[in-house]
Amino acid sequence: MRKEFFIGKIILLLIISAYCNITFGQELNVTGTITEKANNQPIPGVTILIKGTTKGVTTDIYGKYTIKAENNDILVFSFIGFLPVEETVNGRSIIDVAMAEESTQIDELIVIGYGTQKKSDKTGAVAQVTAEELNKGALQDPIQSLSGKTAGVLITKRGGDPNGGFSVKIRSQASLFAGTEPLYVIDGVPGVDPTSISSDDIESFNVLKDASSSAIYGATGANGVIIITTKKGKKGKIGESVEFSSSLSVDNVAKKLDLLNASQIRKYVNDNGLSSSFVDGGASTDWQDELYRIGKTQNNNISLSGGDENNNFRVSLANSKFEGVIKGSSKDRTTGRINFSHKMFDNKFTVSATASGTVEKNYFVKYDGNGRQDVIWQALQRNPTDSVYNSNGDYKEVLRDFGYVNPLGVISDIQNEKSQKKLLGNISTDWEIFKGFKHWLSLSYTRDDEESYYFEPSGGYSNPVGLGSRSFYNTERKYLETTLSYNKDLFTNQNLSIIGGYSYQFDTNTGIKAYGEGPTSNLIKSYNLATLNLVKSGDISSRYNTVNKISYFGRVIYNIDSKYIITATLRRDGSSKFGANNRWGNFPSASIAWNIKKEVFMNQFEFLDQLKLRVGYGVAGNDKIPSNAYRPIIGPTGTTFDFESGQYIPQYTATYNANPNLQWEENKELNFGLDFGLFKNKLSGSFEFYRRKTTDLLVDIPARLSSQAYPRIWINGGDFSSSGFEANIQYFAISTKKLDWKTQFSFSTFKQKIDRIDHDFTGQNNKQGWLQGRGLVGDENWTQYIKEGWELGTFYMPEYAGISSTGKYLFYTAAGGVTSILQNAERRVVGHALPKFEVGWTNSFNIYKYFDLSFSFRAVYGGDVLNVTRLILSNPTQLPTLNALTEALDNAQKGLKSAPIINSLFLEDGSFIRLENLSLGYTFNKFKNNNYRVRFNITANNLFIITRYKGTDPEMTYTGLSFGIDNFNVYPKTRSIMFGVTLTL
Amino acid sequence: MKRLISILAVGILLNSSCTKIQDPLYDSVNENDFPENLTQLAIVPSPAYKQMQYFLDGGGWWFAQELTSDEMVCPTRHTDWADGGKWAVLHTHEWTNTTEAVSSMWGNFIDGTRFANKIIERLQELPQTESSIISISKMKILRSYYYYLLIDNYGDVPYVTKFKDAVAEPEKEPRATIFNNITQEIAKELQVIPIAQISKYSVTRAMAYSLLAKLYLNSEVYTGTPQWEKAGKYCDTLMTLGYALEPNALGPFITMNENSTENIWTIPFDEDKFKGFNLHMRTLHYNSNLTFDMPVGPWNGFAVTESHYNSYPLGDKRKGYFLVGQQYDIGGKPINDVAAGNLPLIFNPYIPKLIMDASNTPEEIRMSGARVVKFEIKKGAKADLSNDFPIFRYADILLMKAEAEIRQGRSGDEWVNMIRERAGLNDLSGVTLTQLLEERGREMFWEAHRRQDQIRFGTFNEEGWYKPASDPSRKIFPIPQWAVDVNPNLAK
Repeated sequence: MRKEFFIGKIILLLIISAYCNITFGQELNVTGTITEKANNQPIPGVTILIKGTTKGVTTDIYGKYTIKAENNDILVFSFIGFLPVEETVNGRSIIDVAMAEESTQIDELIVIGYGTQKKSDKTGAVAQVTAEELNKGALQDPIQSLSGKTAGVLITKRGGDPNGGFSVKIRSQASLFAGTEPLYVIDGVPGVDPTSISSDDIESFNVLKDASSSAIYGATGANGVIIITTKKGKKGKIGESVEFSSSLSVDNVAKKLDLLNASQIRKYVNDNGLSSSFVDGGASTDWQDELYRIGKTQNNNISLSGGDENNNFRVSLANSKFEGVIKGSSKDRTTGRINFSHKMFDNKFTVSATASGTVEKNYFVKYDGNGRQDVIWQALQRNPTDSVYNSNGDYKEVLRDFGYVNPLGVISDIQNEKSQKKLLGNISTDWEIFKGFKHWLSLSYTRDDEESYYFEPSGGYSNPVGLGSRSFYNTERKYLETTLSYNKDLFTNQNLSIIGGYSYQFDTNTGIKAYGEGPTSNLIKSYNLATLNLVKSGDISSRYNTVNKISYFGRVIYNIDSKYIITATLRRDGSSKFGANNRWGNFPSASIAWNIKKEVFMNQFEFLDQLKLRVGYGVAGNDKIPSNAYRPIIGPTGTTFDFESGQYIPQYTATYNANPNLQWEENKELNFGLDFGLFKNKLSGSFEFYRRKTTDLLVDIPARLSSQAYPRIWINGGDFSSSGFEANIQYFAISTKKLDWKTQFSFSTFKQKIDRIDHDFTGQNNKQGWLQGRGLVGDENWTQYIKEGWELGTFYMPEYAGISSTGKYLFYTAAGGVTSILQNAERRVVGHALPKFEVGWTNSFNIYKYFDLSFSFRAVYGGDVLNVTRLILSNPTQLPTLNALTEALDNAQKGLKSAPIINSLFLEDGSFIRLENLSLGYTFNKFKNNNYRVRFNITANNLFIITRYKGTDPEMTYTGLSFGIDNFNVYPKTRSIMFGVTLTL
Repeated sequence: MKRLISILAVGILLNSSCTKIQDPLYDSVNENDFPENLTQLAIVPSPAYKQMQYFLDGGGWWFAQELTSDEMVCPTRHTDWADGGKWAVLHTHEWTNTTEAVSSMWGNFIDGTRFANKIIERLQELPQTESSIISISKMKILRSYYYYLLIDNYGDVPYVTKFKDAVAEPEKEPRATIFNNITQEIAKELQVIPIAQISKYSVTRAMAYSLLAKLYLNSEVYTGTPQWEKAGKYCDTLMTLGYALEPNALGPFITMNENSTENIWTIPFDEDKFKGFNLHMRTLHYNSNLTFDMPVGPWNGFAVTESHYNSYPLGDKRKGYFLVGQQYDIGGKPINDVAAGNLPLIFNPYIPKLIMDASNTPEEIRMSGARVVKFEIKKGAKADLSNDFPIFRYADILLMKAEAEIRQGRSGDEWVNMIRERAGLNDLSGVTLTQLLEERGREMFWEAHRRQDQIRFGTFNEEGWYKPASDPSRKIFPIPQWAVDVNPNLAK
């Protein structure tokens, strides 16, 4: 690598050295080695000048230099792409310098929509996280690497299901029924699925948190924007590089529930004189052990990159295999990506192309309820005296109770697979028409295919009738974006940057689904649905619909000496999701930054390197609702009975009533930010404070007016507000040759309030947090309430008042008394599912340049969890037929005789501190070729958690209208250890 | 290259398809393009009928008519059927305006009326044909049927007969006013329906006569003024239409009861294509699937009250409605209940209490109460039955006729004895109202008539099994909270 470059440098070096030797031969000899700070590599060709003179030398290919200088001379070390370093000689004859790359320092570029900006010039709440700062270890999705890294971005996942996605919330949620996930922009293409890239391809994340930043994305930016930049071949660097990495991780269930074992059940039977009536299955089975296994994750990545002055490319291929800790659940994902760019016409014109593909296969198990196929519930309730197998080797079934099914039988019975393919092609051109005036054009095409296979055999354990289905859904998107931009320096210290653009998006959603019951072959499964005996009209269906969006946008940035920076944007969006009356919307924003440090009066504060105040206000929108939600469209929806003819015929109906006035939600946000850097930027950080108001909330409600003929209607039915504070601080605690220690801290908190809800929304809609479980069916079993003035996730339940002498739960009544009847109990606000604050703390160490060590803690404080799993399983009433927690024995002792009833006793504190990951790496680079490197690392995830929560794991996702409920539907969180090796050639 | 880009850039901004939003429809049509042909026209009315699909389950109607009465109960079986008390309050008459059955029934009926309004206006917009004129009349009668259900259950309700220009938040009308409106409308519109049109599913003249008879029979409850004579008159008219009692008392309830001579108007349930008849799942024991070779295990809930079970005299063939005693699998082997200590599964008509808890034995919890098989459960029955469920049945008409006569001081023996003879019982003479109510109880059991009958006979608020005497205001249900939230005028 870099050979041609080296030869050039060596020649230069020889010439300069010779020249130096002749001219300045009579002074003190200073020697040393210049290395790259990041990897301890020697840097050839660094210029060393004595300050104030033209005397200088350059380093040789080993990064060594010798210069004659006087005692009080200042040496200036400089090299393209690196920050210059100054050192006073002070009698030293050896001066080694580790130079840092420019981009890792404070003036790195951040990516804002449709452009970049110097970090020090930013005006909005934009946070950047680069590849080396991201989480490592067994990552299930690339987005997981961002968890806990930047304040205000809450990335959560309930449990460890390899097929369960992540919930990503920027500054909590801004919406109720419309989507709450942020917009992803990958290499300039908005709306790309972030699972379609490998985590090894990621160069950086840039998060546009406030509306003044995200308003440039208009109607899609309300939930914030995450811009992902992928790795490219290094521009301007000549040569090739190959990187190969491989890792293997083993996962096991971090915490099992403390259920009774077979001998405890037998003791209970004897102690209670039930031995004559109890049917002992004769075995001793730990059903959690039977359901769970050691999970495995394997990752293999290879990338090749390279370039010369005009070209650069990067090709990567990555494969991940996840075997979940619940038997039968797994995922296999392969992603491939090619980035290429070429400069032509005197470097005035650049053409870039990207192609990427993802092939994914999922194997699912169901675990989200208490049905016959919900394997977690079946394992938890199953009697430990029952054996797994019959004597003939079949899964043993015993008719102990209603809906009592062997979970391993269910897993082996049901085929539940999905095959996904995601393709992206993008071509973009950059043309500098004249100095400062540029045209950019980007054309992209994405196609996502999703093919599902589902089969339940006839005569099977879970559903004796059996059924099969296949579906094939495709989404195709054509996207064109183009901008014209002009950048001009004005006067001596001012800069004007203008951009105007247009974008056009056309999506086509197609698909076909077939379903039927009564398979006549269990071997063929869903591979050929012709085996199905019972197929009704409507069991075969297909779809074809489109979404069209058109946008115009513009932005002006005026920068006065980097002291005052003003940004203003405007976007005008049109979307086919809304009716003719509100098809177009305008989304303006403005923000200003004042770099206080640049003021003359600040010169006295030398310790202060940066102090900047930012204020921004913007309006972003949310259109994440189904297409055709504003108009009634009539289509076939299955079979109905023709009451006249007595025949079954295809039914035609619409779902949504007309609402021609339906329009986007608007998210208006005011953001204050403060950026600071102290002690040569050793300590730096930023604080953000925001107030956000979402108006015209899009809500999907049952249609109740006499003039509405279809079941539901979308309305703009409320306002919602939140405010919050975020802090990101980083501190280079130690920065020596032997040891680097960097510590980063993030803190975020927010408050949320429903300001207004349309009265059409009330009624059944505001009762949320419905439970499932035996005896918990029906209208009274809701636990959360949506009400003006409250936040989402407010637990509104009967308050526990003890146990009556007859063993019933008692609850307080409105009159101040107690009752055992749920309907007569007073509902009270007994808790809040939303956490009070979240803290992330990451430390990274670099020891002797060979070892790197990092660990990250994440803490969530506040946030109650309703432990329904415990409500049901700590109740002794199903013993000894069904299993229960050991706690149930105490409750039996206490005389509890009541069936499970929702109450505040089972509301637990969900606060936790988790060691998210601990990673130790060793890099060996003493190869003959300086560029060869090998890195070994070992990473542990979720090593420990400190929490008072009694269930398997308190981490909740804060999605939808209700959350914070553990209803035996949590895939176990895992503890994993990963071994990895990375080779760079 | 440069030229190409310039052309492209300018072209984009000038091309109208690049500035105008497109929203074509492919897999569905605009509202105004439906119906596009006669096949589609035929199903235009189906949404209004379809509300009946939910009557026995999520619609709440069956629960509200049976579980509030003296013949059926859903006891709390320890953890099972506790469900936040939603079943027990129906028995004790302590329901509120948020109780599930009360809540869901309202929406189900109101939806029926507004779907009918919409269909009437849509059919009026389309070119008029002979059949569409008939359809409109049928829809008006069907709408009246939903209003009959509304006033029967809720008393005063809003009476809306428009769709597009309907008032957003209508006010309530007196029960008697609606009674008058709908009786007049039914009598008028039934004239439009040809006598020859016979159907057990669609609105027919027979259905309309039955509905009028029912309305007039309950006129005193709805309006304060009895109209027994009119009730009897419409029963007489029906008796001329050729319906007849089945020879077998259980005949109208077999799985293939489409051709029953007795059923006048039914809900056309089907185990696959028109699901919604799952009462057998609610009454049968978890292991009763072995008796009927069912692929699914039932839910062990609803049972007959002991007093009702005991109201059938010796020799009454209608005792065949019930499952009691030792249960057997389809091969004749006795069934044991593993969860109840592997004891034999024996249904005992005695139910120890309404809310059974851990202080009761597993046998009591799991096996108490006679179970109901009035509607045949065929071998291999699924979670939904295919038996059609009669709304109006000829046996009911006979008993209504008898009642109208007795109420007017005449003898009802003739019609009551037709029913008794079929049940294998001896004739009565001088049938009293008390005897008539008992006979109605035995004959119409499980068919969702009991609440209305008890109200008409004045026994609904009497003290009962685990039920103190209830306030007369309990004769109607409160309009659900959610509906009042949406339309505050309903609170007036």
